[in-house]
Amino acid sequence: MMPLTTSQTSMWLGQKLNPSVPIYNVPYAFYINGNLDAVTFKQAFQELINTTDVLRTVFFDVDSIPYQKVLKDYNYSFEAINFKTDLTDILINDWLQDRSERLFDMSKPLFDSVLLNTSDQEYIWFFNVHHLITDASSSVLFFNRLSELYAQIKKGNESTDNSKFKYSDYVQYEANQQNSNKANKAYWEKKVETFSETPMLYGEKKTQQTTSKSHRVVLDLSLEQSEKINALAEQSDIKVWTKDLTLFNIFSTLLFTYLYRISGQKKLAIGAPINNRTTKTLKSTPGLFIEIFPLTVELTEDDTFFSLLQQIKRETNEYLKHAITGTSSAKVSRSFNTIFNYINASFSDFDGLTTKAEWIHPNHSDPAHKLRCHVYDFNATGHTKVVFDINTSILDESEAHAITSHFSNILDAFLSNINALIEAPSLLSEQESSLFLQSELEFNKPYVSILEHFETLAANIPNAIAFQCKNETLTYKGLNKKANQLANYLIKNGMTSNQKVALYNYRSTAYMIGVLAVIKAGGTFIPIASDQPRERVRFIVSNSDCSLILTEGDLKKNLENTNIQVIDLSDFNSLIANESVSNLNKVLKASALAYVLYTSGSTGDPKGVLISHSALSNYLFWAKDHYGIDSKSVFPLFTSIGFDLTITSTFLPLLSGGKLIVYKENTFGPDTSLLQLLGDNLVNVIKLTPSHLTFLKDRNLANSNIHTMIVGGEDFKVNLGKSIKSSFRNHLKIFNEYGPTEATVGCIVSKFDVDKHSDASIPIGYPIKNMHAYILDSHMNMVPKGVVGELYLSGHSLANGYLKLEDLTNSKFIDNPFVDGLKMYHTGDLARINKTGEFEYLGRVDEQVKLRGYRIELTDIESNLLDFEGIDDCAVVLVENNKVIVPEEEVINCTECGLPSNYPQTDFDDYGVCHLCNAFKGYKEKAQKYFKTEEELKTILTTNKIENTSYDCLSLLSGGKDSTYILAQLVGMGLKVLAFTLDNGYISEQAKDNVNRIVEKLGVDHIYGQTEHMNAIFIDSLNRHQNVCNGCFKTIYTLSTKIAMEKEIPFIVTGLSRGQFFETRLTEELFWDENLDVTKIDDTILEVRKLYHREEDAVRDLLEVSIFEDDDVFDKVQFVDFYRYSDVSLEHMISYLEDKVGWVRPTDTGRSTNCLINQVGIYVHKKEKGYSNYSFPYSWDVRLGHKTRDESLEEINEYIDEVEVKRIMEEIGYEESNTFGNDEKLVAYYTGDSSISSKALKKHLASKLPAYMMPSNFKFLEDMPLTKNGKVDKKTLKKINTEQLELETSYVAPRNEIDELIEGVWKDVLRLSKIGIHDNFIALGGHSLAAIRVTSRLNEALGMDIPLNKVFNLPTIEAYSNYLEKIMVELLGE
Amino acid sequence: MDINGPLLEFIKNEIIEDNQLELGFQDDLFSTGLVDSMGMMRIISFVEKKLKTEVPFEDMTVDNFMTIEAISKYVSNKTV
Repeated sequence: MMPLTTSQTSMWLGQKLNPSVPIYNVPYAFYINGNLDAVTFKQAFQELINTTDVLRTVFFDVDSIPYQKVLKDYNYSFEAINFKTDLTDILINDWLQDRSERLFDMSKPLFDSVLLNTSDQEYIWFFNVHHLITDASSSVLFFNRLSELYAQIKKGNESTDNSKFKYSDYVQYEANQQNSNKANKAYWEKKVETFSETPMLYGEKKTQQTTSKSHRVVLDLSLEQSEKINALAEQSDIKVWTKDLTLFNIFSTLLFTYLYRISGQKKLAIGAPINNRTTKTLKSTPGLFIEIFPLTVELTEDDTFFSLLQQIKRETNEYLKHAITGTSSAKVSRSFNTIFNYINASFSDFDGLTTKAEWIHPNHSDPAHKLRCHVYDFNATGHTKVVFDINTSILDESEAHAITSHFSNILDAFLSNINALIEAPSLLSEQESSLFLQSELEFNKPYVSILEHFETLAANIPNAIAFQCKNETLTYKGLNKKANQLANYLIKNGMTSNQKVALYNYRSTAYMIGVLAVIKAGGTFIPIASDQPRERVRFIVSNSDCSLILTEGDLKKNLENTNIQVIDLSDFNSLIANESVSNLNKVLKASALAYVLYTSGSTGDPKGVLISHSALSNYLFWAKDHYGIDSKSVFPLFTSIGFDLTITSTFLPLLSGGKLIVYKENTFGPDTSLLQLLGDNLVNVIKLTPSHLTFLKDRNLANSNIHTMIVGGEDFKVNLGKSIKSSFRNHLKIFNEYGPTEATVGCIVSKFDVDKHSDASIPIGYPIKNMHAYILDSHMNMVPKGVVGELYLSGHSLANGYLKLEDLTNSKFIDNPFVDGLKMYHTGDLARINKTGEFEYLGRVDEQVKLRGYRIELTDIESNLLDFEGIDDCAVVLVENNKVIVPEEEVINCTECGLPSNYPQTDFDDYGVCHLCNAFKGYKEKAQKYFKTEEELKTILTTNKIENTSYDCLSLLSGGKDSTYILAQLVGMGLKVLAFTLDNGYISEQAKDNVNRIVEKLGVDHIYGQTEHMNAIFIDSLNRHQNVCNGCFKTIYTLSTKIAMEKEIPFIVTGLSRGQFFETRLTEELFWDENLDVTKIDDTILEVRKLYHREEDAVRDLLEVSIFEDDDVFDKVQFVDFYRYSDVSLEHMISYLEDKVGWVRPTDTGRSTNCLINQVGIYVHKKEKGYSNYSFPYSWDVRLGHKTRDESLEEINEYIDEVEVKRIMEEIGYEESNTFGNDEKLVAYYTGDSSISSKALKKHLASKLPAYMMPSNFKFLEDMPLTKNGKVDKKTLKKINTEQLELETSYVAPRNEIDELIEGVWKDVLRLSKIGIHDNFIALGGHSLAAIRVTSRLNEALGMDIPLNKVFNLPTIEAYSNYLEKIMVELLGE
Repeated sequence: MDINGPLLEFIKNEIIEDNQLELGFQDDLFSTGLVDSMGMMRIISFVEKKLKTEVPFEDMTVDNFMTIEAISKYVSNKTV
C-alpha cells in the first residue's frame, strides 16, 4: 500500500468530484495492418501486465485518504471481438467511442484492452487506460513493450523482463523530491499570485454551470505549414536547446496569441505538463509522471509574434528550471483554465506491421480545463496535428470547429510575417463573417416617403382621430389640412425647399403641425425642446443656418436678436386660416434631409446630426411592422422633442392610422407627463427609457392598457425588465431598442424574454432591416462570437454626418470595408454577440473600465447590486484613488530636519528647507517657553506631596532608553515610583529582560499591564491611523490611569520625546498668540486629553473606560511629560544608563525599538501614505535639537522584514488592503430605502462576482445625480473623494459663506480636497490635535473664542456652522 | 575552473544514468539526443551551483552549452 503522487492525488480527487464521467480516460485505437496472431497477442498482453506494475495497480481510500496497491498477479480475461461476424450491425467508430467512455472500477486495475478484427488482415487494438496510471509517453511505452513481447513470444524466445525500475520507486522518489523542494513550490505560488483570474474564453462567464463535457476538434497542419514551422525553428534567433523545445515555444506563442484574441485578457497563464522523466530509467518506466506547471505572459498591444516568442523563450527556461517533480499544487492550478500539451512521442510499427495510432476523445475532460490544446504527430507523418478539447459551456459541438479556423488564421499570419502584431490578423472564417452580414441591404427597393404615406391615410381614413392634445382632437383629415395650411404660410413667408426650420416648441399641437408643415414644404426640421438653456437654443439656431424659427408662448423671448425670422404659433389657427388646405405635393427625395437633431458633443457644443428621409423611412416602416403598430395603436408624446427616441412616438401612430396623445410639459417644475399618462390610461404603446421604467417599478399597473413598450436610450437591465413585467399584465411586450442618433433612433432590437435573458443586461438583439452591425477589433477585424469589440453600424438608416463638421464626420463615418460604397459609423460602444446570437451592449469605449489588467463590466456589478433588497438604483464607477504614492527615488528630505517631501502638503524652499522648519523659525522662541527645567519638575512632583500614599508617581516604562532614564531620574529625586509596562504581546525578550533587571536594580515596584483585546486594538489602530503606536499609547494611558486612580497616584510620567509633543500635543496654532500664555496651552492640552479619551475607537469600545466619563479623573491624575523638563543629550543618557542602570540595547528586534510589532505599523503607514509614521515626530526631534538629521533618517530607513510583518499581520488578524500601488478602485453608489452596511453588500456580491470586480466602497446617496438627458451622471460621482466614501453620508456642498469658511479650514487641516456639510469630522480623520488646529484657526479668522470640544459635539460643517451663526447673531444683538 | 570532469560525471550519473557510456568532451549533447531540454536546465542548475550565481538568460545559448567543453569554457570565462 502506497500513497499517491501529487498528480495522482489531483486526478483521484478530480474523479471523485466527477464520479460518473470519464474525464480521465486515455483511450487509444491502434489500427494494425497485417497478419496478427491473436493468441500470441493475448499472451503478450498478459506478459505486459505481469511485468508492468501500474497495470496491476488498484486504488482505494482509507478515511478519505487515497492509496494504491500493486497486485502480485492479475489474470486479465482478454477480449477479442471479430467485427466481421460478431457485431455486424454496429459501426466500429460507435463501438470505439462507446467503449472509450466506459468508467473504470477503481478496485480493479485501471485499463480496458480489446483486440478487434475488423476485416482480413485488419486489426484494431483498443487500449483504454485511466490517466492515474498513464500519460502520453507511457502510452508509447506500453505499445512498444507489447510489440517487443509479441515478437519474443512469436519467436519462442523467453521474454526478458526489462522492468528494472518500477512506478512504485517513482512514488517514493516523488515524495522525497517534494519534501526537499518546498521553496520551489512557494516559487510557483508566488509566480501566479497576480494571475488569479483565468481568461473568459469567447466571453464565457464564470458563473456558468460547470460541465465536464467537452468536444474535440482537430487542426491538421498541411505539409506546407509544418515545413514552414520547421524552417522557422532552425532560425538562430528562434532556435533553443532542442527542436522540441523550439516547437513548444512556437506553439505556445500561437496559443497565447489565440487566448488573448478570444478573451481580450493580456495577463495569461496556461498549464503545461512536464513529463518528469528526468533520467534514462524514468524515461522507460510506464505510469503517470506528468505534472502541470504554469507558463505565464503579460502581453501588450505592441507585441509581435516575434517579441512574444522571445518572452516565451525566457519563460520556458524559467519553467523548465522550476518544474521540479512533486512541486505542483492545486493553488497554482487555479491560475489557468487552458492546458497546452506538446507531445513529442510517436508510435512505431507493431512488430513490423504497419500501425496507425489514434487517440480517442472520451467526450469529457476535467471541467477546470476549459480548453486543452494538444500538439502531436503520433504517427510521425510530418503533419503536425493541433487538437483542441473545448468545454461545451464555452462552445457547443456545432460551434467548436470555429477554433480551428481561428487558430489556423493566427498560424498563417505568424508564418507569413513573424513581425506582425499579434493583434493584427483576422480570426474569422468567411462563414463566420456572414454572421455580421446576414441581413440583406435592399438597395433597389423603391423608397416611400413618410409624407406620402401619411397623406394617403388622410385620404383613406379621413375621420379617424389622429391626434389629441388635452381637449383638442384632430382627425387625419383635419391634421393634414392644418399642416397644409401652415406649409403654405411658411412658403409665403419665404421658406423654400431644402431649407432648415427650427421648431422651438413645447409638446403641443403647434409642434406637431409644425413638423408636418416643414416636411410638406420640402424643408428640414430641427426640434429644440422647451427646457433647453437659452444659450444652447441660440447656439443651435445660429449653427444650423435655419431660415425660420417656429415657436410659441414664452419661448419667443429667448430668441431675441437672433436675426432669424421667428413665427409665433401660439395662435396658429388664425395665422393660417386663409391658407389653402390642399396637399402641396412636393417631391421628397430620398436623399433630402428630414431633420437635424442636436446631440451633445465632446467639445461642449452640441453637434447637429443630419438624417435623410430615406433613413427616417427605413426606421419608421421597419418599426411599424416589427412592433405591430396599427390603427388601434395609441401612443403618448411625452418625452423631450429634442431626444431622438421621441421620433418614434411622433411619427409611428400617424403612419399606422393610430392615435397620438400629446402630453405637454409643465412650463415650470418637473415633467409629470408620465404620471399623467399612466393615470389617464389611454395609451397602449409607449416609447421610453429605462430610467422612466425605474419610476414605474413599484407601481401596480395590472389595469394598464399598455401592451407594448419600446425601450431605448440606455442600458436596460434584465432585473428591471422582470420587475416591469410583473407590474403589468403578463402579455406586455417589451422591446429593447439600441441606436445612436447617428443611425436614426434604433437599429438593433431585441424582444425581452424572461426565460432567455438571464445575464445582467437585456441584449440589444439583432440589426433591423437594411442595417448591418459589426463588432470589430482595433485592427478592424470582425471578432469571434462572444468576444468584445467596438460596434460599427452601416446601412440605410445611417445619418449623412454632422452639420458643418466635416472632419468629425469623416472620422466617425468611414468607408465600410465589407460592403462597397457604404459608409460605416463608429459608435464608440462596446458590444459582443452572445451565445444565442444576439448583440449585447457593454458600455462606452471611453468608459471602458480596466482594473489591474482585467476588463470589468460595470453593468454586471450594477445589476447584481440591484438584486439586493432595498436598493432602487445604483451606479458603479472607477475612481482614481486620491492617494498619490510618489516613487521612492523622487522623494527628497528637508535639508534641515529630514522631513520627506511626500509628507502631505509640504513646501520646500530653494534651499530644500521644509515649510515646517521655516515656520518654526518664526515661533521657536515662543515655543521654548513651553519647555521647563528639571527643577520645576521636581517641584511639581514633590510639592503637594500627599503623605501616606503608596506612590508619588507612576512612571511609564517601555524598557527603552528614554523611559528607563526617566525612571532612574525619578528614583534619584527620592520619589516613590510605581513603574508600569504594557505587555502588548510583542515586547522583545531582551527588552523584557531590561525591564525586569532595571526595576530590580532600582528597587521599584512594577506592574505589567495586559489586555486580551490587544490584537483588536492593533487592527483598529492600523485602520484608523495606519500605525500600531496610537492604539498602544491609548491602551497604556487608559490602563495606567486606572491604576493611578485606584492607588491614588497623582502623577503619571510619560517618556514622550519633544518631537512627539508636536505629534500629539502641540501645534503651530498654539503659538500664534502674541502674548503667549503657557497655562492657556496647558488648559488646551488638558481639554484635548479629555476629548482624546472620549474618542470613538477600539480602546473605548473594548476596555473599561467609565472613569473618563467624569472630569474628576483629569483632576486626580495628571500627566507629566518628563522631557518637557529635561533636555538631556542622547550621549549622556546612554552612558548614564549603561553605567548606572545596566540597560542593554536589545538586539532581537532587528531595529532600534523594543517592540516587535512596531514595524508592522511602519510598513502599513509607508504603504498607505508613502512615508514612515516616524517621519513627522523625528523631524521635530531634529528641529528641537534632540537628534541629528542623519540619526533620524537612519532610524526611519531601518530595514523592514516583510516576511515577519506579514506573519504578524496574520497573527493579529489584520487584513491588508489590496490597494497597494493601485491608484484606482471601484466605488458603488446606490439609492434606496436607507444606507446598507458595506459588509452585507460585499457578502451579497461575493457570491456572484469575481474578487477583482468587488467594489472597494459602497455609498448611499439620497438621489442619484443625473445628466440633462436623464442618464446617471458618472462624472459627478467620480469626483467624490476617498475619505468621504468611507462615510455613510451623502455629499452636500457648502450652503453659505460660513460653511465655506469652515470647509476651507477643515480641508487645510485634514488635507482633503472636498468636504460635504454632513460629513463627520471624526470620520474624516479629525482627531484631537486636528481639533486644536481647526478651532484655533477659526477663532483667529472670526476673532472668537470657540471652545475646543465644539467640533466634537457638533462634528459636521452644517452643525458647526449653525452654531457659529447663532453665536454671531447673539453677538450682534448685544 | 575546469569542470570537465565533474560535469561529465554529473551527466553520466544523473542525467543519462549510464556510467559505461562513451561520452567525449566535444560530443554534441543535443543532436545525439542524450540530453533533452529538461536535462539541459538541470545541467544549468549544476553549473549555477558551481558558479554560485545564476546563468543569465542571455548566456543560455546553444553555443555556450552544446558540449561539455563549451560549458567548461563558459564557466572558466565567468569565474575569471
